[in-house]
Amino acid sequence: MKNLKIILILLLAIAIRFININNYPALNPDEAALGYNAYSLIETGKDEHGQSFPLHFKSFGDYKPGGYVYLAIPSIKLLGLTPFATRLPNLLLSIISIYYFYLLVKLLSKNDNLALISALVLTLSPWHIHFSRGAWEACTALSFIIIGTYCFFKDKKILFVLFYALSLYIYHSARLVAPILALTLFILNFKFLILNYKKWILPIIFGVMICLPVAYSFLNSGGTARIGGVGLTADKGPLNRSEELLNQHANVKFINRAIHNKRVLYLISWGEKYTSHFNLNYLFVNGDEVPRSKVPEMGLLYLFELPLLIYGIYKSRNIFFLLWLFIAPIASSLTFQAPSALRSLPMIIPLSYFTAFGLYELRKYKYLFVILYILSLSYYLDAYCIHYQKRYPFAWNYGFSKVVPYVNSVKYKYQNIYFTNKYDQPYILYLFFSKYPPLDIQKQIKLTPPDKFGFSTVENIDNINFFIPDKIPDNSLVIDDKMFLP
Amino acid sequence: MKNKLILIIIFLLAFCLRFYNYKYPPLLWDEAALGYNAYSILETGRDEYGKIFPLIFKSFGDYKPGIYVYLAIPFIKLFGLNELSVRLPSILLGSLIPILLYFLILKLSKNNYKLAIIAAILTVFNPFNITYSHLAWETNILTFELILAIYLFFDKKYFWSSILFGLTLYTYQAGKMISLFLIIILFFLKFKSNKFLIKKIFLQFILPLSIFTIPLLYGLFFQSNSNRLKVASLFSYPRSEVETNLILNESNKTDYAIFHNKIVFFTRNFFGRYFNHYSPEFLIFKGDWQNPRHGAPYLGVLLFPSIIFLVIGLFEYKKIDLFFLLWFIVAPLTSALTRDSIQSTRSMSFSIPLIYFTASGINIFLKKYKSITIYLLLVTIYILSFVYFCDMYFNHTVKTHPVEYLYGYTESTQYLIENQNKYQNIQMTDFYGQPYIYYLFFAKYPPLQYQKQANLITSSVDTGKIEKIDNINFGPANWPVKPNSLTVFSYDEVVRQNLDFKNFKKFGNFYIYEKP
Repeated sequence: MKNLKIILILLLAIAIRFININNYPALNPDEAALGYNAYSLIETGKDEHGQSFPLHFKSFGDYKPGGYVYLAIPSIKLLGLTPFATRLPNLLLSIISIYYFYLLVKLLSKNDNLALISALVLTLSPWHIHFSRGAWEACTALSFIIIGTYCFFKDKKILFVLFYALSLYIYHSARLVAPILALTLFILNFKFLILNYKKWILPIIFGVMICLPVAYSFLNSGGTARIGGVGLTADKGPLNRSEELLNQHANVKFINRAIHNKRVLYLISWGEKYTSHFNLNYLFVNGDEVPRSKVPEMGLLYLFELPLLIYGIYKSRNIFFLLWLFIAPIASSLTFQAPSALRSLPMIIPLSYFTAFGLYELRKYKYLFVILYILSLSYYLDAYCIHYQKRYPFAWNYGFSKVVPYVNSVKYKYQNIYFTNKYDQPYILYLFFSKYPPLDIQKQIKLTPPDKFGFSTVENIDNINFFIPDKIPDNSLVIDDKMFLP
Repeated sequence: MKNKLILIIIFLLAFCLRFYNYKYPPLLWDEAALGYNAYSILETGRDEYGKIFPLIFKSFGDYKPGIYVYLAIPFIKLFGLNELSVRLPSILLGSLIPILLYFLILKLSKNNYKLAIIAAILTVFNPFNITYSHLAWETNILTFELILAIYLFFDKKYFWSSILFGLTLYTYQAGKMISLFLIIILFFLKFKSNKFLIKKIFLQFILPLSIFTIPLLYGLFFQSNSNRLKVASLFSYPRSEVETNLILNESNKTDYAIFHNKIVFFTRNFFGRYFNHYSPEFLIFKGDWQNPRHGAPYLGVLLFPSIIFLVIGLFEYKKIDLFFLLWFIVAPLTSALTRDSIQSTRSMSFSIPLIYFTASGINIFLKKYKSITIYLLLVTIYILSFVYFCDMYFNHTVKTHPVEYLYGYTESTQYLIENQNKYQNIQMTDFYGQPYIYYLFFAKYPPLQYQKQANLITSSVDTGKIEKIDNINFGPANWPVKPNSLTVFSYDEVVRQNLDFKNFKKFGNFYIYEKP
């Protein structure tokens, strides 16, 4: 009976996250790549590029951390190569992480009601719902971090180290956030740890050992390829501004060079990116700019939660969650595109905690908040279910699951088939939906040179070309976004 | 005695920073209009349109409230009609703001000298206050009056406080809404602490204040002043048709009525604008990004380190800060309710609570870390940040946005005036707006003579234009020019008409062609 409430919350979470997950939102190329690579591993023991059991998957040249692919193997083995099977690990882990968030808050606050409210706030959070409905590695990595944190406070050292270390294998940003969070945990509990330092020797050695492959790959090419593409220095803005400002001085002296140094400007640019994650307009009104990470006319959190959040921060003064809040956007702020709801996803945990704390303090108005939650949730669901797919169809490649079987059925009637390449990497979606034999693709795959962000694609598979030429030869099928030409 | 000395130093420092390079950036239209109207009043007792001692000046048809004009009169009498005398009221009152803030904080914080001094010093160096005190901005006067009025209110001098609040209504058109909010806050605080004052407050405060509002209400209901309110208001701009159709296409009418109705739309729009004023972009990194005239390029309204202390100050909020917290919350409302997504001029009084909480953050920080190293480190970081601001403001502002800062208006108009008698036809471009006021201002054109021919042609709801003074025409400059003429082109007009820059005399964005 005592557990009934949390079970109900988890059921609600399952309902929100599982309904129609196979079809909505449509699979995007990154998810397809994860799924197809897992499929390829099952069938041949090698990834699409013919590497056997790699740590990083080359994929589009962005070297995806491999953790998610390995997590997806069981579900794809059991259920076949479908979007649902690809998304299942993240879905399950996000539900489990809500439960562990509940346990964590309960452990820290000794307050069952607060813990229940925290879990409920996280369950209903648009930000968390969005990224748990899909094979988003960021969300999976966050789930590992939450479970790991709980293990830390439960004094299960090996498990703590294991979960934190595993998160490094799942998502790039976690490689910065998880170690800093672990360090914060150590510093905050320094006195306690120093008494038991002997017991920590083994777990730490264990942790370092699991992390070694990641560290090794950082020194080699794999991990760094992506940093070059999306890192802070990929943005040439500060560099140009430095030149612009220097040109405005009639005669450039040393002091001017010092002031308009590109390092100074990059530092300012970093500060701007970091603080932009705390912009209330971004959090509560407009959300991320990237269509894949947002729903139209909606922030990442519900607007009415703002007073609760402020009140919660002011009242609770929980140092650990405050530090978490400030650590979470660090990795995201070091990329060229900020603020990013995806890369700064760990922020949702402290935000949910503080909102829940505010709710808990103001529990005498609970009926008001229940109404506000119902209204906001229905607004969100309207935006998510109805407007989202129609406003940003390009971001999610709707219709691919239907086009591909058709293409395969008529594939040999034509000499050439042309697919539009407007939507990032169509080839992987073709492979995914046609369950293309991995052995065949490993032989013929050839990546194009990377674009400015370091992403590549594949231009032909068999007689299918993933671009539209200026002049279309005879006997060909062209697939553009709303056009079929024989 | 020691405190007095410190205050004098603070005032002098503030004055130097605001006075330094007073001709920079170049004179803006509104400043020229304020100056010329003051000059006109001084010489003839009438404004440029011949109205005797008006409370509100017609000017470009934007109906400027008159306080600034009257404040400028003594300086114009002393120093003549030039940039300095127009800007001096703002410079002087702007330099007094730190002192006033010092006394206000002393009053409200039960004599916390440290906090008051830190706040005063911060105000001296705060970009928000420097940029608005440097030019003849009415909003700066408004901020000054507000602090003084609030101080007097807390000093229980209700009558004088009421007078000053009354004056704010005639100081800055778009910002006066803040007075209303602040009065409500003051009442709220007063009645919380003492309920027996009602009669006294009514006689000494509300009565005088309502006398001030009568002419304003009259103007609002019976004259055209409400037009501008309508143009500026957020609620005059509903969802665009394209967007409406987009949503209707995605779903249906019921869905639109439930989830995308007016209330939702305006709520989202309002909060978007409101939150913009608390965004790090506005405070630290970009400032008023819609209008480059409102500050240094690529910099916000506070110095870099201030953001950290602002957060600390807000986080460590105590009951004693309540008044400033309420001010902090209402200050951006004045601009959030308008069409602009961000507007620092309308919400300039926001600078005061910002400074207060930053100072409070610094105070708390220094109390916790009492070492000389920390202290020196803090000062060094602030100095570096301030030097960076100075370089950006004094060296880069006009160069980054030459068009917005009307670079060249002064020089080209002066050249025109010098050579005015050599030519029969003179044409001055109105590409950058209101060229006539520059001519009047720099020529010190006799007001009596101008009042006779002043003819403002109003086309839109916003502002009108003057087309002719004597032999000078103000309008688009077109090729070919008449014989025996001097023509001032704007940069764009030269480019659009494919003319050769070599034949022109260049003054900033202006190009002068002389044909004998």
